[in-house]
Amino acid sequence: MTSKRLVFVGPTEGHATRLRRVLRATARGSDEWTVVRCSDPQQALDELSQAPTDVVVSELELAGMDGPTFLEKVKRMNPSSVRLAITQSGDARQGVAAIQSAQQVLRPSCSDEFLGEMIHRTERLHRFVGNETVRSVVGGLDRLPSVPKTYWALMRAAGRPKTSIADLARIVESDPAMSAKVLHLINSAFFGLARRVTSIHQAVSLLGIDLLKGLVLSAHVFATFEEVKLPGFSLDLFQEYSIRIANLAKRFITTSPEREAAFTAGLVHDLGKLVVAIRFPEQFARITRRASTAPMPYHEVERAHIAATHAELGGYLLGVWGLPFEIVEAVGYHHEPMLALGPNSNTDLSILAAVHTADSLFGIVTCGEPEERLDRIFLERAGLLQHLPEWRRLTEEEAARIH
Amino acid sequence: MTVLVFDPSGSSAPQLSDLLKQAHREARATSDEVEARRLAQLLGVVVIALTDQVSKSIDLIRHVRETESGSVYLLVAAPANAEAQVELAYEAGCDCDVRLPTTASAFNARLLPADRRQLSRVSQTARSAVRANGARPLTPATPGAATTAAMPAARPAPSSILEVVVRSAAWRGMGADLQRVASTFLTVNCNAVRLEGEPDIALARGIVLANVDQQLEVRVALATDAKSARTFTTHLFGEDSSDLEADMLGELANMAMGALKAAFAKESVPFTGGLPEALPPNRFLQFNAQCVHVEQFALAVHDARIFVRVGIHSKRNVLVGAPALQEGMVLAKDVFNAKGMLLLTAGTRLSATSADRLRQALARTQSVEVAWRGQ
Repeated sequence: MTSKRLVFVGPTEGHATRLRRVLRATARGSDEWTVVRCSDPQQALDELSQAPTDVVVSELELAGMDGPTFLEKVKRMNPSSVRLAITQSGDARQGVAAIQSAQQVLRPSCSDEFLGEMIHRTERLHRFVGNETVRSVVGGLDRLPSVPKTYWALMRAAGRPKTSIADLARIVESDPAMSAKVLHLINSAFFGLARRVTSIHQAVSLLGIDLLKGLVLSAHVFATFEEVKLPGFSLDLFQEYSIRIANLAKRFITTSPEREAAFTAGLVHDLGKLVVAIRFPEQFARITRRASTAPMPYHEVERAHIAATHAELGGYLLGVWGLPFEIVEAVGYHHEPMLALGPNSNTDLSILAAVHTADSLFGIVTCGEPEERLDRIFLERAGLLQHLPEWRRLTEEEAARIH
Repeated sequence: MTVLVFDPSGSSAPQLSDLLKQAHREARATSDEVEARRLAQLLGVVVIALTDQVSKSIDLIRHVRETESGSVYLLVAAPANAEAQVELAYEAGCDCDVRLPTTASAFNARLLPADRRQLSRVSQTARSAVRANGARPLTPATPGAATTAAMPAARPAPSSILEVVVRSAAWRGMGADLQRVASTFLTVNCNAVRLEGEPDIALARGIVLANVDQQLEVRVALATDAKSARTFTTHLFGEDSSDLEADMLGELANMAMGALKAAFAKESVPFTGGLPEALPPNRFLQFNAQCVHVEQFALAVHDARIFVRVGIHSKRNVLVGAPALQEGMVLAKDVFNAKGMLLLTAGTRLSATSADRLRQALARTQSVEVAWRGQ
């Protein structure tokens, strides 16, 4: 029997009651949940310091401190606790602020099943990418890659009702190096635009803010690592490959905002490889050599050498940065998507499926990787297997493009 | 390729020489007709100024055409309004004209047919040398032996300048040349013997000869073990130290380079030489890794050895589609897969296994840069 603890913070007693009911109904057989209700943030912080807590759920309107600020404190004090926010109002600004500090933002109008599934799913991912080994690997970096400030500035601005395209463009343009990198990415042959984009304003008009956010994030990631010597690795080719996976993942999904999220996840899905390269340069070279000759998948070679995978490391880092849950999940599980499925999963896994499939099929078609890399059982469980022939056709089309 | 610049008045020679230099060609200028006639045959490419004393220029063209079979390339350089003079030059037998002022790249473009013609001349010269000296390849054990073996039957004509060099008397006589140089420098008779096994290298020097026009590179690596280094150095200098050992080997590398330069120049394939560079011991073999032809032997005095490796490769690379990669190809650049992961490094010679692996691991549309093997 595993004891788990959830701390709820907020004035609404009904939420705590509902959480107890939901966790009782949806918990795995061996888990026993205790739900502690705190009426104010200070009481909650005291509770957290007294006993290990698996999940913290907070309303956004609190006495004495707003929800996002409280959750930031929890993130610093208790990085191992999952942080969820419940938002009452339709205030988009509040929602955006919460996204940065919480791993999930939930509406009270969601069903009990959905609520339970999201709690368990978030907790599962948090444990997977936040395991001890991963945290020690990332903690051992001389310099942790910085939080993508421009990305978050765009997020906040996009949440304001009167933000214009010019306002968004100005945010990116305030960092000339970032602007140059974003334009370089957009104009890359692999991005596939028919015309040249010469300004950020034009980029926002053409692509929309969601795709631009993804590009800003990607530019930030590659800027962080471009000063580092990466033997056995071409950062330029890696960046091109990431763009191709992002494009593929976006094409696999037909609905917004999932397709934009898949695009962003595709851009950064292998971010963890860069972490491995700078944290373990010799092992990275060995892993690369071994993976090119061994029949094992790349991530299993990694696990054999460093007891962690680039997927876990990338997911953890994106989680630390506060990226949306679906993107963290897609990155963290992109080699082992079945781990995202709980016993009664019925929530949307299309973003993870798109990234996993794009990455696997691209490797099969262009690098001679075996067909087993693609998890067809996962696609079937996620209700997406019927799309595979079309996805394969799109991948072959992408692979046949400029080389 | 050295180009003769003939300018009877001397006024255009500096401008023409400068254009040739910008086009990475060596120039030799003269205003003397007699010397020009002699050098035209020797150098094979002549730029003739049609600025002043045009009649002397036209006379030179006529003389060259009357006295040789047409392999000398004659390019006239004339002012833009010199139509009549250019017409005369063509009647006399010149090959091409260029109008001044012009750019180095335009000037160079006019000389490209000369390159092709020169290549043909070198091939003919080398073929003659091969026929005269027999076709036996270099055998390190018997470098001074008489070369009277019969030519192997049905050997195809060389298809490239690299093959021309490899079949030349200069290449095949390397062992004898370097044996002679070493004996002179070390003041003791050296024998050229087969290089057996993996030598135990303590000290190594490398030196590179380059023919920029043909994009050829000859890489010479000399190495010795610790005991041999002491032996030769003590013999030469009367004392031993690591600095003196390095000097001994570096100077020998220099002299080897000089001997090879002289030998190749006789074959009309001029090389320029660099300075000797210190090689970490484990780079002795890798120094020639990109070379498509390598000769190796040792220069021996009793049990003291100088190990020699001489390799040649073309710096021209070719793009090969992934499905066409084969055993024996040498990678000119690092090869990455579509995910940016390094698969094999530049200089790797593909085995059957690695070629197969590379074909599997690369997209069909991907191309790989390999060292040109003149095939």
